[in-house]
Amino acid sequence: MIKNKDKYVAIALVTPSIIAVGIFVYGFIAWSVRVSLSAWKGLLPDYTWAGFQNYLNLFADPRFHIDIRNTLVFTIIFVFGSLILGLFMAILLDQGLPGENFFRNLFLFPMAISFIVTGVVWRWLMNPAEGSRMSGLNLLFDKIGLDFLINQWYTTPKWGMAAIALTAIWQMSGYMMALYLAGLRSVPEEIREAARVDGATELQIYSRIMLPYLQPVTLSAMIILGHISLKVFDLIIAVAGKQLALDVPAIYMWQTTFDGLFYWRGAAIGTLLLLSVSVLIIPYLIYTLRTETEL
Amino acid sequence: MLKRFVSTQTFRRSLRSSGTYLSFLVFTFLVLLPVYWMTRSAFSSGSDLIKLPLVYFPPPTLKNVNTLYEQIPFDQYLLNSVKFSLFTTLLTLLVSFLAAYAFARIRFPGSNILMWALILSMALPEIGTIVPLYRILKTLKLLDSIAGLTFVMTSTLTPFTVWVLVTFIKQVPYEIEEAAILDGANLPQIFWYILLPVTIPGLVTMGLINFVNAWNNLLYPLSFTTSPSAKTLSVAITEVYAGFSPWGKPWELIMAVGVVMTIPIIGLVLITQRSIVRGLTGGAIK
Repeated sequence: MIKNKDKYVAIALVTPSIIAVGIFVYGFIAWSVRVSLSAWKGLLPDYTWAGFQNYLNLFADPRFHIDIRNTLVFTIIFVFGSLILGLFMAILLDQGLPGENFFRNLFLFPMAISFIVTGVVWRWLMNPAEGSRMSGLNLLFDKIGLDFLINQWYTTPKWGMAAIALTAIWQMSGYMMALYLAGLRSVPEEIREAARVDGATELQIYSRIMLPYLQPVTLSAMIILGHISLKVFDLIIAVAGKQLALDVPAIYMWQTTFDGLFYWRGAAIGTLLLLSVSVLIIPYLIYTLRTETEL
Repeated sequence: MLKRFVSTQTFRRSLRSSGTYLSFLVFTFLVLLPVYWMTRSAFSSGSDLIKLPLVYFPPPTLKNVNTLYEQIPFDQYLLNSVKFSLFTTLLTLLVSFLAAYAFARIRFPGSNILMWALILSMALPEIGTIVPLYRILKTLKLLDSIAGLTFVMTSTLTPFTVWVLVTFIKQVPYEIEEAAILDGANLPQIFWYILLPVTIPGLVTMGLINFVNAWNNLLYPLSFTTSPSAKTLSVAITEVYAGFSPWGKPWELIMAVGVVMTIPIIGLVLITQRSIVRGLTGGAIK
């Protein structure tokens, strides 16, 4: 299988993708790190060393504090919301009732829609207007007598971020459902059968047997969702525009670089984003690839 | 006694399944509500849009599309979206297929590290490299062009595509290739006559996922385009969104672009649901 000639063939075959990823991803990450340590501000490159003071400045920046808080609020609500809803849908679909296929496809389809479309539609639905200008969800709640649910949505002081997380949950929980359903289906039927024979209720089967089985799926799902929420950009642009109260690191970075020309600061935010994603993902990758090679 | 037991069993079971269907209905409502709202707004005239009491199914009108054509070069944006997504898909498949073959079949020095580097790069946020990308595109005179967007998007989509295609190629028994090599087939022939036919499901899956990803992408077109010659539909949304109307934002126009962006995707996904699900869940489930 391995001939000497093959080596050169292999190198030729992987070169395009290695160039694409090597330069466009890793090369540019290195460049960003370098710029984040420079004093570059303005149109022309300026690589004067400014060192880690840049990062200290960023951490002292009140806008960046808002960003971190918003990212945390978004991440927690989005990750747990999507996981719980996804698992719930998966268990319901797992009952094998007629129509399962139809509902599965229906629940999955929001994830194919563009974040920017999801964002603008939900912004229109989450219209905070009151009284005679009431619209969207608030109007619906008013109609069906759930008045206590009427709220200011993304304009709610402090918790506007939660409203944006809801739109992300709408988009991604179907994907989580697909992951969990595939996980549930991979549990050998004999195990469930055995538990049933031993008199376990359906609830016990799910909580004691299936959930432990689903742990690896949950881990993968959390990584997928966590890294989506760290880099959330489209949804924020769509729902919040550029309001400071709903700012996130990606928006700050985009604005400070393209509108403000603070290259060092944009690069520093980018580097921190990369770092936080790496902290999340590298241990997971090591874990996955190890278990994979054992197979 | 036994009969009674059976009937409570059935009773319980039907109770449970009606509960399940009830939940399904609630979820269906939640999934479809935004879609309904978008479609209703897109085909509604400005005055029906905000009329109270709410008009659930306003007389449909195509007026909004005409207004869109007056405000933005809509055809051009649509064509750009199609070109960008299609070229990205094809280029990504080509580049990834070649690399996936090497990773799946040939053991070469550093292959493990390279595969790792590819997989890790999948997770890194695209926004982290947006500035250097902008500068290199500028240097190469590829700013504000479909070609520039295509290259950048391809570099983003390649790692995941390679990763999935490696699994697909590994499933093809090597003996078939071996026999072909003994018969004097060269590499292009092996690709074309042996691997391509059997990896078509994988290529279709990844082609679709990549198409949808490029079609939906906002960050790159928003950052790297300045004129209608390369702007895509997702940028069109932000442009229409920036406009004003008597009811705050021109929602009927925004939703009209949204509908145009969503319909082809729904169509694609509905036709090929099964293979997409396999591609998306394959990595996470073993």
